Amino acid sequence: MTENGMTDHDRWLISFYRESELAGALFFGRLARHLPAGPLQVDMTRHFAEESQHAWLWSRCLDELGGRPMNVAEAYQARYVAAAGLPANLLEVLAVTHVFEARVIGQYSRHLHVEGVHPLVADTLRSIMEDERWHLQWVGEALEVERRAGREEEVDAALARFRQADQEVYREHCLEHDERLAAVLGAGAAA
Amino acid sequence: MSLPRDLSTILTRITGLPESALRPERRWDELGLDSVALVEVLLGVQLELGVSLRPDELAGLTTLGELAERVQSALPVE
Repeated sequence: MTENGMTDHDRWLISFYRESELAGALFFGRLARHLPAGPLQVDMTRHFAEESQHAWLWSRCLDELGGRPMNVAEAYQARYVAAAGLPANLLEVLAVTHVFEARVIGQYSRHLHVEGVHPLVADTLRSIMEDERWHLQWVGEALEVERRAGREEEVDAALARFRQADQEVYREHCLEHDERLAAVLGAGAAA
Repeated sequence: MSLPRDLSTILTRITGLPESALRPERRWDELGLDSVALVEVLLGVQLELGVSLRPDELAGLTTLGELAERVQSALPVE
């Protein structure tokens, strides 16, 4: 445990979040280069910027708590690709993003509601979750545009495919996240 | 012989290689593209050239020339 009361479980969780935000930033930053000028380009570029900001917030949080990033398993996003295959087009990129963002908000929300969560971690979670809600919103609106353009079946099929992958990835690869969170919860309840 | 200009521009942006290094006979697997780069290729070709490719079509490529042929044959008729 560090002087500021951070355990290895806290350090792992924050490192996991940091890795995931970095991977997200790189993904959206690279894809945004190919979008034509317009609202989608603006929104995806903002998404890239906010994921970068989140990675910085988690890096700063770790530093202020006296910790260093740990090596964590492959980022969550890479698991999606292994489970569901590459998104083949813009519609599928939007679909996988929508499913992924909903998962991220769920994980952050569970962490925020752990009893005794460190105030700095709680502040960081609250700040990031506000942005994540907007991520879900803009992607949802972009998918709605696809539906109105007559691609309702494609949208539903892509969402179903990535939701199934999400369940598989969560079941097979996120046990450590849950165990670490449970350990933090146990420590909070015992305090 | 060289790749079509639009395709060359997309691949240059993704790989960071100069157009002169993207010759049709160059092997696709030599580019060492990671999964995000492959999504970039799919998205770039879709949004900039109007051609839809499937991920397994990229996986089956041997050379850049094959990609160019695949894109050319699927280009919308003007």
